[in-house]
Amino acid sequence: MHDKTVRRRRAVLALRVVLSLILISASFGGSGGGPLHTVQSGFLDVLSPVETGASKALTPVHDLFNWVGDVFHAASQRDKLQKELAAAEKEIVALQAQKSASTDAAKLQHIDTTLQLAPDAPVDASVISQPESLWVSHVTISAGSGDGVRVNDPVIDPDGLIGTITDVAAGSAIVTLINDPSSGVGSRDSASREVGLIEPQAGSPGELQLVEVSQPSEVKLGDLVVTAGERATLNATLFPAGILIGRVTSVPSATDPLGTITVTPAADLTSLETVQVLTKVPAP
Amino acid sequence: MSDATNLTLRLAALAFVSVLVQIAGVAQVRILGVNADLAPLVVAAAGFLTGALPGALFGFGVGIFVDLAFAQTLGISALVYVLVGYGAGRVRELRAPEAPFTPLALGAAATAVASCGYAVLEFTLGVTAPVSLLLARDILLTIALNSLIAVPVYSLVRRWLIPALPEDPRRRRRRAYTTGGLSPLSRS
Repeated sequence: MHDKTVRRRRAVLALRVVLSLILISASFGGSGGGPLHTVQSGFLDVLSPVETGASKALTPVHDLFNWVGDVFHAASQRDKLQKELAAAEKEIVALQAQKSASTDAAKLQHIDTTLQLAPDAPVDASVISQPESLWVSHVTISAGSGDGVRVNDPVIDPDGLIGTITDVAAGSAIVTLINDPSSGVGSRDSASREVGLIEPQAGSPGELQLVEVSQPSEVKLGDLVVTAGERATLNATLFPAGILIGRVTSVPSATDPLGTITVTPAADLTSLETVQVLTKVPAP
Repeated sequence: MSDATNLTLRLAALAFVSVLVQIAGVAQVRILGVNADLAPLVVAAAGFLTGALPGALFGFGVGIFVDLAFAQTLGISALVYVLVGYGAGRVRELRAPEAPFTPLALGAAATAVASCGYAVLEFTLGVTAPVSLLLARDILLTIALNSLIAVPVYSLVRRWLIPALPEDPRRRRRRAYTTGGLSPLSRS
């Protein structure tokens, strides 16, 4: 009895397998218009309406699943885009820094060309420490004695004069800015040719004053003040002539002829980036 | 209506509904780039519940239905599902596993056999799809996805077929023990 069952089972299995193989052979080897294809297309014709109806009925279900899938897909896309955005932001920051450095270099190059500073052997440097507050007037730069920088060398930035070297190490140097109380720069009003001395203005670290002018009334509002190319004192720094210091922003009034001539520095002394040290200023 | 006729009708209805749901619903939902495949799960569950011979017949029928509905080469799915249905039935007959994870393991194994068997047959017939990591990934994801739905599918198939199945001797013995061999109604 058991053997008969086993034999029957094996026979049915073998029959199904053989039938499947016959169907595969007939379907695979037959032409497009064979009887099997006719049966298949007829079956599809019958099934299509049922399939369409079932598909409509199940639309909310697969919409729900697809919505869940879309949510996960959107989340993964968001993560990917956030990473791309972070990378792009880094790239933008790097490019902006590169652009800024390039602009500063071009401006310095322009100053060098205009004022013919090549004989002064300008050395490029970047500022590695800014003034900690408005009342601190020193910065550290990335060039030192190894680059030929010495004490009392003048320092300029793309906008104009910023100060002098007061301390030098092998790879860095301290620049004392022109708004430091110890600073004094021989200067000239570029319009009236009046000569004076630029000093910091007491109580106003962001501004300078032009003093020791023989004819103060000749200095007008808006005049540009440049270096005179002369020493203010015997031990003072010799700045090349014609470097922009700043612009006159207030002059003595008619009622107060002894008033102060205020000069606003051309360079932003609180935010310096690229500077140039003039290491070989020839005597006038 | 005899039990055999009842079982045949229920199996036919099961084949029709499962293939229809596969075409109209499941095939249109892609999760991680693949679809779940109800056919191997239903064939394996039916084979496991009804035995090797009905399982093979049911697998053949579902396979033909799938090939016709999806306009595939006729006989490929039939051959694969004959083996799946027969194998699931033989597992029940030889091992009679009762572990709670049996439906899950059965579903995963049935999907693996069906996916790999289908791929092998297609390659044998000269389909020039590249054997790539993408194919392996798709097969593995389909197995994983089917494993997740194997237990509920098995429960539904069992619930549908159980009224037409001959009573399990073990269940009969258990009932005889708890009721003293009598129906609760006959005791009152």
